Amino acid sequence: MADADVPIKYMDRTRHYYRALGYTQDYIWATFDDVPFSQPAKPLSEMRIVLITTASPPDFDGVKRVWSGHVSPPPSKLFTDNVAWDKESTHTNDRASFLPIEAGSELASEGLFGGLAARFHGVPTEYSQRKTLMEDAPEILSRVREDKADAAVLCPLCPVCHQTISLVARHLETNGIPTVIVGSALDVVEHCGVPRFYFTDFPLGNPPAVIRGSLKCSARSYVKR
Amino acid sequence: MQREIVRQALSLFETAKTPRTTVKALFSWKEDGVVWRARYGRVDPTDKERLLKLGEERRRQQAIAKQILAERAAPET
Repeated sequence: MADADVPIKYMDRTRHYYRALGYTQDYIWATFDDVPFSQPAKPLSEMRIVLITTASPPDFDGVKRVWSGHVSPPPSKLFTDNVAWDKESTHTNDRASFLPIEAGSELASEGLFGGLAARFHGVPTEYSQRKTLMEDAPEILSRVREDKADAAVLCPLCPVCHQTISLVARHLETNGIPTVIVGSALDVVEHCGVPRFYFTDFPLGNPPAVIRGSLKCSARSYVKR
Repeated sequence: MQREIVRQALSLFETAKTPRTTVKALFSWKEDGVVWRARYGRVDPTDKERLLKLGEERRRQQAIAKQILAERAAPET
């Protein structure tokens, strides 16, 4: 029985599920003792922020690769069926609920930060940590530099998406790009070790939320450092 | 609320001073936590046969994908 307030242990859930599928070797999740950390070089009000997602393009052809899209006009939909977000509890029909282009644009226009980069980027979710570390994370870094972005906000969907995004965040941070992950799989992200994590304790699939009317205000919050 | 979530997330660029900084959002899901937390990836013992068949099909597809990748990587003769 799940506890009403205890974050889901996604690594345990995934392990049990794959054992039920007949896999005999448990997946080994990424974990690191050292965590890179870059302080922003300029105030938030001057920072250009790039958004990064684990969703795929709407015309996804089945080949997993790093890809980019424009924030203006924003895409109406992205393809998310290939990753294991909580398809019973929520949906991803509202793209803004997992890639917050509109909310970011509004906050930038109000002066909270300098602005969104013209492109957002997609990184494929991979069980292969080697592929993410050796191929995809460097490609994301290259595109972020082309965009002249000062920092990145990364929004994963499924448990392994959270690991992929954590590896990308670590790579960006190592190379001087500060990052914030907005996600819902607390155990995966903290097991990996990342610089900054904004934890939304929702069903997987809507890390920055909101499907309208699907959230309620809570008095509970914590900060852990 | 989405704006507030994004706003709070962005504030971490200014407030976080050390790595491994985690901040939990002030919002919770509309549904009781007992209900939605129990749902994800549950393994029902009565579903054992179906899950095993699902796993077999998944392994078959993975083997095909692996073979295709190996053939693409092999030098042409």
